[in-house]
Amino acid sequence: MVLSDCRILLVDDEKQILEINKKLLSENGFNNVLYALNGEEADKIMEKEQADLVVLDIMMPGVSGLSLYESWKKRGINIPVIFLSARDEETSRLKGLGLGADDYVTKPYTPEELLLRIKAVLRRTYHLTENTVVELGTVRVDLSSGIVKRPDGEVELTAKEFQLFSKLYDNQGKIVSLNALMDTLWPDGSYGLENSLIVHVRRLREKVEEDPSKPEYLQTVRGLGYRLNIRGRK
Amino acid sequence: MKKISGYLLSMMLVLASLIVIDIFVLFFICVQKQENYLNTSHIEKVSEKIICADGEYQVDGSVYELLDKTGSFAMIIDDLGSVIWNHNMPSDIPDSYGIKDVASFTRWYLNDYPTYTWTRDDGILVIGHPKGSRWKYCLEINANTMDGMIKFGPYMFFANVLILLLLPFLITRKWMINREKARTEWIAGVSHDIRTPLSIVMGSVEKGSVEEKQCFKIRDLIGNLNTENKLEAGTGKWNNEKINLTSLLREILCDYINTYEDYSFDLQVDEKLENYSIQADVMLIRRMLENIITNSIVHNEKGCEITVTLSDRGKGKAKLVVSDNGQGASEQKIKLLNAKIKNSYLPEHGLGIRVVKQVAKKYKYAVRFSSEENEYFKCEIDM
Repeated sequence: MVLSDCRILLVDDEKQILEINKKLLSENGFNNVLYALNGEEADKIMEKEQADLVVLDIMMPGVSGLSLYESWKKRGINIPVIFLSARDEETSRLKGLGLGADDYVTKPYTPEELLLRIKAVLRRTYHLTENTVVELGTVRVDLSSGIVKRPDGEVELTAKEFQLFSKLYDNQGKIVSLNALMDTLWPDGSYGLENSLIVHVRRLREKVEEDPSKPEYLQTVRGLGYRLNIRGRK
Repeated sequence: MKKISGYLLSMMLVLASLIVIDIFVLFFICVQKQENYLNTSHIEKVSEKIICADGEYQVDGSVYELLDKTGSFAMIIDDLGSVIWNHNMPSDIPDSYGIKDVASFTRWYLNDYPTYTWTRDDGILVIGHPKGSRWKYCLEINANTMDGMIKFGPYMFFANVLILLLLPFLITRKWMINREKARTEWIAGVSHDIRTPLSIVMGSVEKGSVEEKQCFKIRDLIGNLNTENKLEAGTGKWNNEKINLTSLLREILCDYINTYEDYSFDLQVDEKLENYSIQADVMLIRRMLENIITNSIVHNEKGCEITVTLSDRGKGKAKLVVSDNGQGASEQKIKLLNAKIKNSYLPEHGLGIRVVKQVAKKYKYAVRFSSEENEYFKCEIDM
């Protein structure tokens, strides 16, 4: 099973937001998308066919997103949820529930932000891969298996290297900060692990770059982080 | 909360002024004339100046002077009730009295003349003042009550003053707090109502387009409006968390580099400050930093270089500098930026920098702006 096979339930009282999010997911290979306009509908859907992930608006008429989440937890339904929050107070309350930064998106958000969150949460929860092959010159990285095909043979990415590469690929063309990468590899606490990150990046480069000593695709942005540029150095 | 204390201070000043004016009116205007008349405490001294020697009365000149000045009269009544000496005696005053008459005018009045008496060897000295000049009333109170009043009176008085000052203070404070809460809720509600349609627009515009950037502007404006209101009214609930400042700066700069291609960004962090942390609300600090950087972007539409530096200033403190090499700002503008925040004054522009100053004030950071037109613009924060 790959990421795009996951069943995603979208819950929002704004029909237009549902349409936009559904379109976003469909354009990115997610074809198993359900939606509900309120908490009661969402609850009925969850009872019939349980989703793998729920994108849940907090402020809804009737049952609020947070009340729905809490009632699911009480009933033993432990599905990962990404909250859509429009008020600062809601964000504080979510943090108070022990939820992490990946678990909520503050409105207004870009479609990209939501997609990144969805992929991050699905990977973290189900350890899934994507059905994509990334071409970096003569090197091909298969994201469904973690196998790297090079002119000189095949190598397999380690779990950490795979996580690192996936994170960079999700944000391709953009800089991902050192801390964001460390949080990905070590979600329980990443202070002081910068040297370990550098080692993982170096090893990843050795597998995916044609010439690791002159990286073309996995670029360092001094003092900030790394960027995966699949079109190569500008 | 500053606004609340400002109103309350004005109110307390008004109350205090009222009390002072009351005291002034009572004691310096109403009471001032009483010195002109004799009362019980002075009559003994007057009696001492009226001496009977060998059946003749010798009266000190000052007694005549006092009586004449105040239009008062005096007489001495012997044990048989006859007037044996008098001065300025009105025609409607009798020249002999019975025991009942003496008992009456000792307490009250003699033919509407307020009178005061003093016993002497030769009888009773009576001093009478002009009609309507004194108001006499005989107070009778149970002795225990009187004792109680004397003992507890001062405390009661101070308690009343305290209640007089505190009650309006508490009522006004409650009213002000409720008003600020309602205002905060209203702004939060409006912001919420704007955020959802803005999400719809952001979901529909092209990535990297001018429209997307305008959406970010509106998003930042809503955020700043909410934050400004909560900081100004003191109604925000802020976290107190440990923030690694270097990590936060990296995250923020990555976001800016990924969004604004026409600008170049550079981060320079002192090696010693790699793990430098502060205790604050991360949302507030992020907003403060983003507002300063956005300020450089907004004022340099054609692009510029923005440098963020975190350096050590000793004793475990750090200095953050955000500078750009853009068009800079005028001296007048810099003066305005470096001025203290005026409460209840919202500038037409510059909400972002106002929030920067509010956050800095909250955490007691010193903020300084400097610039050279067409050379640079700099913001320094001592953290």
